[in-house]
Amino acid sequence: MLLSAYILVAATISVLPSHSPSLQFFFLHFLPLLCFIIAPTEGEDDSKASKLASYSCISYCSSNTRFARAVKRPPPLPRITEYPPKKSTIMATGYVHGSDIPPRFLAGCLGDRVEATRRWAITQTWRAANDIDSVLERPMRNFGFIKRFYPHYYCGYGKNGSICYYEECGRIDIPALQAHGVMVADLGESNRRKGGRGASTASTKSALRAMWVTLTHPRCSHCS
Amino acid sequence: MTEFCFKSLLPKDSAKCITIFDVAGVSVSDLKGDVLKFIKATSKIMQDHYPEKSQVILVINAPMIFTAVWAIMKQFINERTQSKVRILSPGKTFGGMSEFIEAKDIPVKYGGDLVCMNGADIDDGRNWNAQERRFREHIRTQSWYAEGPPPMMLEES
Repeated sequence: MLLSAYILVAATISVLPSHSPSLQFFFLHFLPLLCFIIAPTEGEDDSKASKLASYSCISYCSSNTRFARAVKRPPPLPRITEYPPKKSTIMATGYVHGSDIPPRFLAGCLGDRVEATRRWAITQTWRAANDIDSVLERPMRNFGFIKRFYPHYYCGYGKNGSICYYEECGRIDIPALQAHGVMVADLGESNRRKGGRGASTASTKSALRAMWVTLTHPRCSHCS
Repeated sequence: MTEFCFKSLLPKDSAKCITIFDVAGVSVSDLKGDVLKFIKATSKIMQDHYPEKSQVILVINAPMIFTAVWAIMKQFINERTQSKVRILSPGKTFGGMSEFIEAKDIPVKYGGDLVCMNGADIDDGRNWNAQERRFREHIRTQSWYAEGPPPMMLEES
């Protein structure tokens, strides 16, 4: 009776999803013990016990060492070298860049692990290309000017603990920023890309355009 | 600032941010061409690289026509982000904000009780909120100590 029950449970293990750590813990740690208890230690039944144990990928030995087990691990998955990787590649390998996917990426993709993996790889590429990880360690000599003429700040928390971030878009003063030499070259570069037009006056348009330059400036505090 | 927010202020992966854009004084007629490109680009960065980091985006002190503008901008933003955006007219600014933020955490100028500077006005720092103070301290440590005070500070002193 016990053996029949064990065969049923062992067969269930093989179809368990890989992301159920608690269940895996149960089957990997409790079942070998159960197997040890119910299986005889010698004689012809020993081979039966070994056969049963093999159902759950657990090697069971009832020799003089009494009990030994080793979990068979799957072979290492190949690394992806293309960035961003294609969906088909992710599905074929199931592995990207050796990094775990942040839960928020999975939540953002409604649990689609393949899509979350693809997006996380794109983000990693973007962060590496723009050196985002070290953006807070770089000197920001224009910080004072930007804060003064582009009012934005953190202030207080929301009801559920979220931080509140404010931007006063109507108070952005582009001429003042330019007068202090903040990102003028980048603004020119931005204008050249957009058809050669010069910097406009203190309109909302120029303000927002400069905000874009601000966001892309490598030394600026808002690059993130 | 986004990096500082999610690395230092709220390092948990599940932490979120309430973003408030005060568009008082912004002309709607300029929301075209390059500005639209800007909006698309910035919203794409947040969507692509900071997913599930925004609890809600409040556009406050918005003229009524902003609602129509928002209807156009929606096409560049995915549905989940769309559902997070609220356009609030000046009369509904405090009411809309208080749905997500306690009155004690809403700045006085928006009808709340919190006295804090906006980061732009020059003062002695007494009214900076805790988060802003930490951010400025970080910048001062990383930049000003390394390269000396910026020119603006020298002029003021």
